[in-house]
Amino acid sequence: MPFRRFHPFHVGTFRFARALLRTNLRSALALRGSFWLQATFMILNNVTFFVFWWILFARVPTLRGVRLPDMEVLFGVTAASIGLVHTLAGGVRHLSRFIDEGELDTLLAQPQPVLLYALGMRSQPSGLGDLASGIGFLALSGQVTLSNLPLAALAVLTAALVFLGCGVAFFSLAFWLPRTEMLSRQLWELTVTFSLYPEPLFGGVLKLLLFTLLPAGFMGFLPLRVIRAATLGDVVLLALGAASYLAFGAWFFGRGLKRYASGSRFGVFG
Amino acid sequence: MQIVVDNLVKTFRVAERDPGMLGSVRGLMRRRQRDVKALAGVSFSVRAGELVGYIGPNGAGKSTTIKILAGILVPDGGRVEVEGRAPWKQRIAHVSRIGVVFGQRTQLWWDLPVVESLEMLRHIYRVPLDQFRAARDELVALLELGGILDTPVRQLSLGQRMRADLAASLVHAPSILFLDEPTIGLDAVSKLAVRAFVQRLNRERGVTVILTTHDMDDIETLCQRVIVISEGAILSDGSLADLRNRVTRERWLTVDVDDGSAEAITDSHATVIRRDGNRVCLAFDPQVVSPAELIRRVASAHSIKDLFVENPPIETVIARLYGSVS
Repeated sequence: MPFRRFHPFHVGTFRFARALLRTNLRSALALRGSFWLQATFMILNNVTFFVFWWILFARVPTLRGVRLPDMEVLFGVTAASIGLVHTLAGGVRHLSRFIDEGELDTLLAQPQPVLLYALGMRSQPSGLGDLASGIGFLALSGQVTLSNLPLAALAVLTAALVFLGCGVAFFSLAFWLPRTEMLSRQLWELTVTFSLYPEPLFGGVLKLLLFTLLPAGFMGFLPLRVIRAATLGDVVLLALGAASYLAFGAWFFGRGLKRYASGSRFGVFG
Repeated sequence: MQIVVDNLVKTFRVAERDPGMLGSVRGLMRRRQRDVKALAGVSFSVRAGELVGYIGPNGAGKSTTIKILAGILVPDGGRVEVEGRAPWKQRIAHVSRIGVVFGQRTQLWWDLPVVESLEMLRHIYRVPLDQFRAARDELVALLELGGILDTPVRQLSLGQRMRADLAASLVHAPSILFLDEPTIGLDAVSKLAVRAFVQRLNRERGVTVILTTHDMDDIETLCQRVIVISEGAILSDGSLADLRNRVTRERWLTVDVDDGSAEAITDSHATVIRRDGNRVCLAFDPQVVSPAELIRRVASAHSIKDLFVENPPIETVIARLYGSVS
């Protein structure tokens, strides 16, 4: 076979990403029972979490200027963005294990960008449950109409990219600190937890933290602001935030990859 | 030279902990680390079309070497060129020309049929569709995969999975194939099939093969050349015959008697290795006593039913080589 030049941004890379996504989803759908159970229980899980807010707002219609439809948007954006990440880049949750157990070996021995490959290797069926419940919450809120639908889609997409970027960074800690999957998972879930609470509850240093180290602000507060009453400044900030976290995550992973030490554990793939 | 390895060095940092629970608790406060030199200046070259066995005891540095050659690890020192490229610097261009099979790890998708993994690899290696179909059909025939193409990988036996992994590593027609313990855990029939395929691949297509294995039958059957590594350094590099002669001149005479006198068979210039019923195995140095002389002496005192002279098993030779270092 004649030698071909490979470039990470070659059109072949996009074809590979498409084929990877298709193969990944087929792998997830191959186990039908598991798929339906995970997706269904994730919807139930998200609805259960929201019951508290339904009860609260039934008694207290407004909380520091926040109303029930605002919470529905918060939940909707967060759930939909998590769903997107879990469905399309579910491998992010497994990065620590890939690093600790030498599973990057197979990816490094094949001519595709390692991070893209690792992210696309696992599709979580529960992600579709998150996505469905997220769309449901957004529809229920009444704040997403045809006129602001593109903005809502942008908000979900940018929240997903922020979630993905910080997830890549958190789980890449394994390059420096072995067996820290639990820590990385807790940081990631903490980001999600904070993104489910309205902005007026936070102030000062905590609010700064939620727009930096734990970017819940870019996943919840800012998308809500954009959907309610978008300003150019907020939209630009959202886009810049997404690009920055994604770029940082990729850079951090790349730095860590130089330290990768492989492993000899017996393992399966895909 | 297709592969050039010059003074390769690789060091890993490992944590040290005192034994016991107290040691673990102490380790929380103070962490000690030490450097383990996995490769301490390894050098060798491989010509295109060679089939090389790369062997050594556990922890010798075999897999570390292979992973550096495959572009998976970055060395701490030395130079490596594979077809003129440094594997870790030009990783994507490099790995597009090689195939790698890890015995302990599969590159097939666990929940999907074999055929879908092969299709995925077509996209990974960007193989044109017509070339892929030709390669796939040929590999399916050679490796007898026809009956398992539609079987999910999780349902394959180890032997079937290894044959499928071999096919997966070859859909893009690489010029070099790295096999890291490909026969580990396989039954005798599967091992024969894998060996026959690798031999054919090397002889008929000129694919360069670097094989690491603990199975000495793999080495004896396949390898024209054997490189022995131990504690990160090359001990020996040459043919199997060179290796044998270097480690030992010893030959073994195995005699079957039919007069029940096996227990009494001895010789002043030979050592009894084992006795088993009517069979005795004697080790001797042919430069001290010739095979013909030893046979004459034994035959003059005992009624021989059958006999043969052979080299010691390669396992014995390798074990002595490892033992001479440790």
